[in-house]
Amino acid sequence: ETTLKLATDSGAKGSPSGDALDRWAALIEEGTNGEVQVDVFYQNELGSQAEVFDLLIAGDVDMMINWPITAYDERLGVLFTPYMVTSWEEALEAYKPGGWVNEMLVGIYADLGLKFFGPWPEGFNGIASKGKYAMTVEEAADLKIRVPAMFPMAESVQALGYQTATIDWSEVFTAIQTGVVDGDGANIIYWDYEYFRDTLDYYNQTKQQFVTGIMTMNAGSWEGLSPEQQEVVANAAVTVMEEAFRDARARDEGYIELAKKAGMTYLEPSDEELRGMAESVRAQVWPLMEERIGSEIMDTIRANASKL
Amino acid sequence: MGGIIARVLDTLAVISTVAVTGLMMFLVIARYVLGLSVVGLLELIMLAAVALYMTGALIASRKREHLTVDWLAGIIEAPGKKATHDALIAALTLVVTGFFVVWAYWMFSWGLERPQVTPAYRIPLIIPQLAIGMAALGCFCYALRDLIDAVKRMRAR
Amino acid sequence: MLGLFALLLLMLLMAIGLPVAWSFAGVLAYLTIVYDVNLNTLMLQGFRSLNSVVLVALPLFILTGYLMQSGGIARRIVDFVGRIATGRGGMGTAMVLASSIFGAISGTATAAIASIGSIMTDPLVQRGYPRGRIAALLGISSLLGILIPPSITMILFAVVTRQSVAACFAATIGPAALLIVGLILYNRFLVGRAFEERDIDVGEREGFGRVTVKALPALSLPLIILGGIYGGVFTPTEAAAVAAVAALIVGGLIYREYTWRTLGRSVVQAAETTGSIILILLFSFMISRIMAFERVPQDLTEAIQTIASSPISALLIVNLVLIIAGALMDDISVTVVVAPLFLPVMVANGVDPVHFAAIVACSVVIGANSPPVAPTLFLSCKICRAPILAAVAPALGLIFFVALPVMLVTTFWPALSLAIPRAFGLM
Ligand code: NA
Ligand code: NA
Repeated sequence: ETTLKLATDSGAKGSPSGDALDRWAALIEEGTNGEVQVDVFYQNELGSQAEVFDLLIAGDVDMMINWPITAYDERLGVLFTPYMVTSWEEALEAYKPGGWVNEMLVGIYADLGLKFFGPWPEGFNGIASKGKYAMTVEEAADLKIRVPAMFPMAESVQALGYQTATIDWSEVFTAIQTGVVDGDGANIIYWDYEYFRDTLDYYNQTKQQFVTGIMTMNAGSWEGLSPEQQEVVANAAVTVMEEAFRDARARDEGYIELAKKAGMTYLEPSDEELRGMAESVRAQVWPLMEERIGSEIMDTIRANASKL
Repeated sequence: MGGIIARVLDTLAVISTVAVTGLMMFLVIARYVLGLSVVGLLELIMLAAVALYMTGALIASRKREHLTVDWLAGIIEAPGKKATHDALIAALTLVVTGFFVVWAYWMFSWGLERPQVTPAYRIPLIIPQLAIGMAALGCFCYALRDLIDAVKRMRAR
Repeated sequence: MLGLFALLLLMLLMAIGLPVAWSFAGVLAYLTIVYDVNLNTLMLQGFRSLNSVVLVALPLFILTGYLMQSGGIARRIVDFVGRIATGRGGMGTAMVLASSIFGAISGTATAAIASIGSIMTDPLVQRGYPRGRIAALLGISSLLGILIPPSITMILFAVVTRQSVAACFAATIGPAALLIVGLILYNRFLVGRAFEERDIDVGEREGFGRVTVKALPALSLPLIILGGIYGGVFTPTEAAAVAAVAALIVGGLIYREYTWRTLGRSVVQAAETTGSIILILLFSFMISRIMAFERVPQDLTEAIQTIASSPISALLIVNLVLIIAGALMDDISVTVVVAPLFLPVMVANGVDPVHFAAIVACSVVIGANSPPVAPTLFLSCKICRAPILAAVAPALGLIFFVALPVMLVTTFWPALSLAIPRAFGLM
C-alpha cells in the first residue's frame, strides 16, 4: 500500500479547488481499490505558496494543484502572459491536452522534475476596487492597485494605466479596508468575492490573464508507482481537469451573480475597449517578457495568441 | 580577534537595521507621498532583514545573552558545580548547533542543485541563505568557546 | 505519543538551562530523526518562514522600544502620568498607565520593563511599595504592550495562523482596557492591606503644564502610529518602521537625548534581542511544519472534541492548556507553536480566529508571568532588583484576581474582542 500526499497552495476545504483535491484523491483511491491512499492538505496547512512548491519539487509532497511561482524557473511566467487568450473558447483550445500552451508547459515542467497532467482552469482576472473604478488609462492613473510580486503581474496592471503596490497577501484586506490601496488587481472574481466582498465595490473584468492552477506530480513519486497505478492517477487527473473545464465557466458566472448580490458592481469592457487594452498591454509587456523568458517562447506565443 | 569580530558584528547590525528601517520608510513615502510603485523593494527589505536576524543571533551567542530559563543556574552557587553545569550546557549547545550547521549545509546543497531567484530583481536565494549558514557556523564556534572556557574552569579547581 | 515525548524533552532541556532557542533545536533534531525528515527542505522551510514581510515588524518594534528608552521618551511619559495619577495607589496606577502608553507605541514588553522599571522602581520603593510587588505589577503591566496595538505577539499569531494583523490588533483593545482597570483597582485594594503607602516630600516640582507640554511629542506617537494604520497611510508592518523613525525624531530632534554612542548601543541591543527571538521562531517554525506534516493539529482537534461534551468545556480545556503551556514555556513558543495547534478546535466550537487571537494574547499575559518559566517576571525582578521568590506570590495574586478573570471574560464574551474589529470593518 502506497500513500501519496496531495496538496494545494490556494483553496481551503470546501472551496472549488479544495473540492477538486478531494475528487482527485477519491478517484485514485477508488481506481486502485485502495492500494494507493491519498492524504490531502488544503491551503496553508503545509505553509505558504513557495513552501509547498519546495516540498513538491523535493518530493515531500507528491502531487499538487498549484498556482505556479517563478522562483525555480522564470519560464513558468508564460502562464501570466497578458492577453495571450481573450475568450473562454480560445482558452480551452490552448490549455487542453494537445493545445499549444499545454504542449509548451509539459517540457518546462519536465525540466523541473515534475510530471505535468494538465491545467485546472479558474477564469479571467480583473481589477477589483473600492469607491471608484476606471474604464480608461486616464481614469486608471487615479487608482492604486495591489498586485502580487510575480513578473509580469505588476507590469500588466501598470500597462493598463494603474498605479501598483506590492502588499503581502496577509495584509491585503486591511490595506484595502483602510485605503492604503484602492483595490486588488490580479485575481478572478471568486477570490475578491470570497475574501474582500465587504470592502470592495467594483469588479472590472479586464481579462489581462487567464488564471489556471496546474495539476502536477513529482517525477520521482510518479516513477515510484506501478504502470497500472500511474494510469489510474493520470486518468483521474484528466477526469478532474475535464470537469474543471466544464464547471469553471459556470462557476465564474455564478460568482459574478453572487458578487452582484453582495452589492458589488460588475463592469464588463466592450469588445472594442478590450481590444484597445490588449493591444496596448501587449505592446508594453511582451517585449519585457522577451528579455526574461527568451524569444523562442515569445515567438510561439506571438504565433498562437488570439487575433485581436 | 574577539574585539574585531565584535566590532564587525555591531557594524553589520547597525547597517542592516538602517537598511530595513530606511527602505521600509521609503516604501511608505514612495507610495503615499510620491505615488510611486517600486516593484521589488520588499525583496531588498527581506534581504536586509534576514541579515539583521542572523547578525542579532550571533551577537546574542557572543554575549551569551540567548533567552534562558536560569533557575537551575541560580540555585547552583559553588564555582566548581557552576563550571560543570556550564560545561554541560555548552556541550549540549555544541551538539545542537552541530545539527544547525548540518541542516544549513543541506539547504545549501539543495539550493545549488535547484537554484532559485527572487521575482523582481532575480537575486539568488542562496545570498540570504548564506546569512543563516554564517549564523549556524558562528553559533557553533561560540558554543565551542564556551565549552573550552568551562572545561578550563573545571580543571583549574 | 512522540509529540508528548517531544514536549517533555523541550521542557527538560529548558529546565536544565539550555537556552530556549537551542532547546527547540534539540527537539527539532529529535523529530528529524524519529520522523526521518527530508533534510533537503527542512532548513529551506525555516528560511521561507523567516523570509516573511510581516515578520519584519518584529525587529522594528523592538528597535522602537529601545529608542524610546534611550531617547528620553519613556521618561517624559512617566513624568506625565505621575502627575495625573494621584490619590490612593497613585504611583501604582502611574506605572500601569505609563506601560499602557509605552505599549501603544512599542510592540514588545522587554523595552517597557527596562525603561519604565528603571525609572519608577526607586520612587515606588520610597513610597513603601515592596520590591516584589513592584516587580510583579511591572511584569503584568508591561504586557499591556502586547494587548494594546501595535503588538508583536499579535503579529506572530497573525503570521502563523494567516489572519489579518489589523483585526488581531483591534481584537485585544477591549481586553486591554479591562486589564488596565483591573490592575489599577487591585493595586488600590492592596494599599493599606498588603502594604502601607507613604506620602513623601518630593520638593520643588515642575508645573503640571510644563510636564504636559514636554510629554506631548511622546504622547503624539501613538496617534501617529495607530492613526496611520487605521487611516490608510501604511500597513501594520510598515507602521513598525514609521514608529522607529518617529521615535528617533522625537528623541533626537525634540528631546535631544541621543549621543552617537547611546544610539549605537540601542541599535545593537535591539538586534541582539531580535536575534535571540528569531532563532526560537526559526526552530519552532520548523517543528510546526513537521507536526503539520504528521497531522498533529487534526488529531489534537479530534481528541479534544471527543473529551469535551460541549463547546464551553472545549473552550475551558483550551484555556487550561494555554495556561499550563504558558507556565512551562516562554510566551513566543506558546504563541507560535501551541496556540495555532488549537485554532482548529476553537473554530470547530464556533470561535472566530480573531476572537481566539485575543484569548491567546490574554494567555500570554498570564504565561509570561507564571513560574517556573516566566521570562517577563524574571526580567522585571532583575530591573527592580527584587528577589524572584518575593515576586512570585504577588504575581500569582495579580494573575488569579485580575489576569485570569480577564482571560475568562474574553473567552466567554466574544463581543469584548470582536466589537472593535467589526466596527472598523476589519472582519
Ligand atoms: Na503595543
Ligand atoms: Na510562564
